[in-house]
Amino acid sequence: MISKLFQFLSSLRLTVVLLGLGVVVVFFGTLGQTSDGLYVAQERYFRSWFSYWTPHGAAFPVVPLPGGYLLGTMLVINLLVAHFTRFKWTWSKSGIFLTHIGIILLLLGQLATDMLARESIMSFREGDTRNYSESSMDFELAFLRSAGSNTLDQVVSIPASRLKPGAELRQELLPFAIRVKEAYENARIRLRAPVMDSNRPPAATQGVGARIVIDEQPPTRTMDARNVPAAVVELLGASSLGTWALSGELKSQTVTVEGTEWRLEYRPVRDYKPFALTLLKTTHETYPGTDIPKNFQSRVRLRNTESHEDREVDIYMNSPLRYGGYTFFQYQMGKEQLADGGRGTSALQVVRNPSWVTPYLGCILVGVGLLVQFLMHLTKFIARRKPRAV
Amino acid sequence: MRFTVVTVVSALAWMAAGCGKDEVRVYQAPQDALPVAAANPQGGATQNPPVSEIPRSAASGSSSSVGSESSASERPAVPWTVPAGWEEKPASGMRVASYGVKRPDGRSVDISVVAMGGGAGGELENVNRWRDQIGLEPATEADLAGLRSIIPAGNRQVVMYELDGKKAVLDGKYPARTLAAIMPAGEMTVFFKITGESALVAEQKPQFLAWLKSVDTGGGGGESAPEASASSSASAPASAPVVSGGSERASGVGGGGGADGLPNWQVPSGWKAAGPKPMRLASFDIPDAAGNGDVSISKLSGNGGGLLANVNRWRGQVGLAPLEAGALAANSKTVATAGGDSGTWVELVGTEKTILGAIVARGEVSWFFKLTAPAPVAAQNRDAFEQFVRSIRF
Repeated sequence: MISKLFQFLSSLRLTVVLLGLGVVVVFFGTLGQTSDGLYVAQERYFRSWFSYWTPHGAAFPVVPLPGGYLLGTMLVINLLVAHFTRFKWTWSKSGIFLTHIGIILLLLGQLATDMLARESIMSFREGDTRNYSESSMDFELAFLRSAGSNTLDQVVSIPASRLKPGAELRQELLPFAIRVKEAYENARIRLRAPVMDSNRPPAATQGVGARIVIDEQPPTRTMDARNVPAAVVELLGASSLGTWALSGELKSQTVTVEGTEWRLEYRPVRDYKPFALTLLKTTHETYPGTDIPKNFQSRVRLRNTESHEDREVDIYMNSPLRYGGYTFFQYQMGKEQLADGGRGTSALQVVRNPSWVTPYLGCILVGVGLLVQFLMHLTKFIARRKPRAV
Repeated sequence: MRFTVVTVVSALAWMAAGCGKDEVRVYQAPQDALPVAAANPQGGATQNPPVSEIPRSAASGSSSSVGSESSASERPAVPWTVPAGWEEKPASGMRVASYGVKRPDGRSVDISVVAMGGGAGGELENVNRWRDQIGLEPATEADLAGLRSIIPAGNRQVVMYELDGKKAVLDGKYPARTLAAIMPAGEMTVFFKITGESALVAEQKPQFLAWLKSVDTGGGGGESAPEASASSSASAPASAPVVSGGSERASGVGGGGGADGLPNWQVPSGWKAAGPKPMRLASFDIPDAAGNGDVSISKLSGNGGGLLANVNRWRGQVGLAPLEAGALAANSKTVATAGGDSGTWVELVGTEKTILGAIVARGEVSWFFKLTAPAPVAAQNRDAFEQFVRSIRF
């Protein structure tokens, strides 16, 4: 029984089937991207164990599919079991061995990238200094109070995914519990209009929530728009501190509990860095007479108080800044629309991928392995031919 | 090989655990610098927002001629008397106002009022730009004194340049001439200019001078005479009044409003004074990542076409259906200003945009205070705008 299982897991037929299914998943994943958008399609078809494809407008799943994780895992197992059961180590097969190690490294490296790589955005205006970047997808409910100094905040950050209606969240630093009343993946806020909204209560009882209503919106899947989540929570101290409306569109609100002022912010998840960038100058050049960008360039000042680094760097197309395990790419550029002309704005895409080196290593191993195997065959072939020639 | 298996298994286990993405994080972080749009009057703040200085709109002033009663737009009456024969043209770009005179033979002149921040580049630079436009060689600093004359504008004295081009730069047939008066006004400089076919400009010169004389420069004229005659630079100190805080000015101003025709008010923090815009007495920007808010202050003679008509025009701008006459009361409230006036307050909430407005009728004129912003920006600035309106003292 076990030998049959090993036979199946090590078979070349399984490899071919898995690669074939990989092609099918890529095909349906690409189709799915048209309705789901890039990020959702990635999650659904590739970062999953199983998935299904539903044609546009159909009410039920039509094509069941293996997920990317399943295919990748099976390929790794297939390769390893094949090695265990069939592969006998000899010097003459060292090239194949290296090639297989390279392929395993590629597969595992992709898994590690998937798990560890983080993309975020650092956006600022000329003169601004940032020591954090923000997620372009995920939000957090942050409670902030002064950490006893003039420069530091104590932050308690709750991911938006925890805000489910009915949930009650506690954290020992917070002098209140958070009871989630409503949560929306995508919503707009607006003033509660007189007459029109007279039969609709305000979104909350406290803060700006007492003046607004929350209009739920269908979640967006396109690349050029993003969901702005909203929620209504009740804060429960010794007694209720009222309900508060939260939205990614709102700036901070304050609640004072036991003499301490807490700020509530529903904001993109922040990733703080041990260094800071100051945007000194933006350069936005287009080809003459057109709006086609020729050069987006941000001059930034990099300061790291620990290493005492203080230098200026230009970040532009194909010339990112690599520092502290992060890579900063020039992403967007704009200008404040103000009467005085406004300051230039710039957004940098910040990528942290600790396993960025694995694809390079994997490819080198595969290349070297193939070369070794080829040279071995070549030398053997030449050695065999020589006596005949003599 | 065993190591590889262990790696795969641990990676899968980690994957199943979800990498702790849903964890509550507790950390200390450097405080944010104050955002530009710091106006956030919600959240229990009860004190008045800080008062910031605002430059005055260059075209401000109390009404001296009366705009069309039938005009439904927010066109304040212009603070000057338009000479007969001048045809009004739509203002555009930096122009506060624009007029033209045409002759059947194709000759024409263009009259403009342009307001720019600060010294607007300096007197010599401006003069040389005008000289270049009519084909004259650049002048030097020393030449300016000889080109300059001092003329009355309202109850002030301003500098005027008369530049007489000799080259036939217009259609290759006519030489051109320019008359330009420079009036410092607070943090702005206002340029009154007539340019065009040389003989026609000369013919229109009396009208141009009369027009300048008719400009209402406000009550404090004697004190605010420009220093340009003594200085060769247009970046004269701000001699026209600059509003700084209602509380500071209130004691110095009688019942007749500010020296330049605008009431006193308290500007919420985070609002930025915007440059002059056509038909407005003052403007503010409320910078916000979600889209800037825009605050406008304008004035119309009489009832400005009627309260309901104006409210319905605003409703149309945010996609709301017009109100019947009887429905206005239910859709508005009364707002009292610090100066004791009362106005009509409306909140017009469209799907994308929101308009908050206050209309204050005062004797012969109606004042319009209006905030237009994307819905979330309006929601967060609603209380600040109401405080702004309530702080008004005419």
